[in-house]
Amino acid sequence: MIRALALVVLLSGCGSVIQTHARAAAIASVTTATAAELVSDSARLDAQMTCPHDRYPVGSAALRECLDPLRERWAPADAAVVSTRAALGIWVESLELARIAGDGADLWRPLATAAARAIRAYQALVAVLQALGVDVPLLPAVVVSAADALGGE
Amino acid sequence: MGTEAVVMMLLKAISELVPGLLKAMTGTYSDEQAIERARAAYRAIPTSPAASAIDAHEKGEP
Repeated sequence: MIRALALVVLLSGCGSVIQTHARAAAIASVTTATAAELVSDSARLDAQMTCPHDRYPVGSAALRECLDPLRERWAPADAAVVSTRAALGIWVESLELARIAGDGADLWRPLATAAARAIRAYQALVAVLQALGVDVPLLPAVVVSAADALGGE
Repeated sequence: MGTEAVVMMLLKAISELVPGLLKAMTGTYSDEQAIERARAAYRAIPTSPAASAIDAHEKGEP
């Protein structure tokens, strides 16, 4: 653990460990928001191509019925976005806990665990979206290294 | 949307974040401020992007 913390200090340069993780969490969140935008664009395109308004008028039962299978098809994408958002929230709030607890508190392990889980959630999101044919960016290395440096599970 | 567009969107987002990140690296931001920025970033993630887009199409919204 001491060697891991020393590595984090080296990696973080002038910033604290909390700032290193906050930076990584912010970048991961921006990346997730970008992925969510791509989900929105792709689902909208799917709806336009599958259920065009010239064949399925707005307000018609036919349009509603046409869109039902699309809602099922894209539900896993929304679920994965929600899971990733929640995991990122836990990571950030773990940082707040560490900040309040201050030096000496044994909170690095939970922090590393929260970071690793957020990263895994995003990787699961990428897998779900790839199965739907949506190409999204991978997490930048600075995010992964923040978790790895503390030895997250 | 192609890979190039994805990369451009991500670069745009990061370029907006970089000035703040540089300030954080030089210690200008406090831990509390850094956490608040991360909190704002994750709260900005939409919760049902696909469902909202499909709903918009159903309503005929642009």
